[in-house]
Amino acid sequence: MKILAVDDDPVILELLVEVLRVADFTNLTICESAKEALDLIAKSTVPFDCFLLDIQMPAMDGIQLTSAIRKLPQHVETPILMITAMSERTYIDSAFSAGASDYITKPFEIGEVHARLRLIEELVMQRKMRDDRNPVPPPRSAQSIATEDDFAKRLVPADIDGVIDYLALENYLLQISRISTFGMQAFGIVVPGMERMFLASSVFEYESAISDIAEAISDTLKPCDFFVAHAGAGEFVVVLTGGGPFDAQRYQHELTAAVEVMDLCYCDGRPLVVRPVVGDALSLQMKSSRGITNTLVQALANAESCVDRPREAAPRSSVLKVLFGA
Amino acid sequence: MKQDALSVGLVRVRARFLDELHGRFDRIDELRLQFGNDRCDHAALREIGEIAHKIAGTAATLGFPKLGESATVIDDLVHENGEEAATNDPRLLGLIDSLCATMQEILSQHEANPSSALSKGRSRFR
Repeated sequence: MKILAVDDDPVILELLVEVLRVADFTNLTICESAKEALDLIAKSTVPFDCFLLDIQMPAMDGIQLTSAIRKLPQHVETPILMITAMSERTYIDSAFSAGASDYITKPFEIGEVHARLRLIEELVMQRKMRDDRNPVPPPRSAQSIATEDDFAKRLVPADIDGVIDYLALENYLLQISRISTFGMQAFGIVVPGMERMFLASSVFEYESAISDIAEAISDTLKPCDFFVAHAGAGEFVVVLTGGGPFDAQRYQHELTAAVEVMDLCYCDGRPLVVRPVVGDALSLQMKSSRGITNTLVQALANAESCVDRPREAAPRSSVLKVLFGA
Repeated sequence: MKQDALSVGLVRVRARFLDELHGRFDRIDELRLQFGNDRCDHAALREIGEIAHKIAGTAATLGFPKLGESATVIDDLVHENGEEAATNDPRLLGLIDSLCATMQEILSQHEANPSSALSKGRSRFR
């Protein structure tokens, strides 16, 4: 696994070299600034498989560097592990918003770094195997028919506020749970019949629809603090990171209205009717790490259970009223 | 076997850390004096915070937990509250003095017995 570590402290870099070497992560490049890192990435003929980034660095910090790396087409899904002394919630939120995949606070346990890198290595290998099976990616055109594999894939629509990778969302919650998950809630959103709707459609049409729905979710949740992740097919999980009660029924109406306004359609002009179903929110407070992961799954199950249980019409209201039940 | 390799590697990194600690001690001592004379010297406090931040990031992993704790307190104070608010904190000068004292203790120990400070620290390997 080809790794790039960026930290302005040479002692940390030297320490990482030793720590990674004993775990057989020997293909490691190090540098002391974000600028140097971007130069190395640009000059690299074989792309890096993983980045280890410090946050507090002069000039461009690690969060800005994360955003810059995510803008590079070859690194849209490359794991980015923040290794930083910044343990405050605001830094964790900003790092994951910018596209971080995981977060370790300094001073770190050496065994913890090894464990996280093993997980990343496994993920990288799985992705390589996927790419090896399809050495020539199928063209993303209106003619490419979506397969079951396409529906199962967890997508990360780009440039939508609050939308992050599903695994990153789990890692975010695990990190936050060490500080406090007070007031945090999770809920699921499912779009019934998504696979059926796109059975004879293209990958492009399916991915565009996922992106549009993610955008509608993001727009209707603002200005609240949240993260949303696509969980495969027509399923999304949302984490509200602020406090306050959540009214699922009213939010479902708000989201449905937002999707309707988008006037979605297939490439041939046929209208695409999407009716998202929102599940009741579950508290993330006082959950263990396993409990947090289970809660995300349970949030999706809640939404699925609402599919055959139609909700009564609710009056239209503003986003804030929807989220805080005013 | 791997544990042995790691131990050897960590001794090397500890030596580098202690080398850096000399320079960092001198600089903090200088900045402490500067800041003590002029409590509005926010640049001096910011630099103290930056040095503390670097020490806080590695000290405990390299087997110097007390030093790590002293540095973390200053790092948190300066970063979370900002230099201006930290300046008004009555604990600040005492905390900087305490960090300097811990640095000096480690450096003196290292000078008296170089191999001791390099090998006796317990790294955070689990």
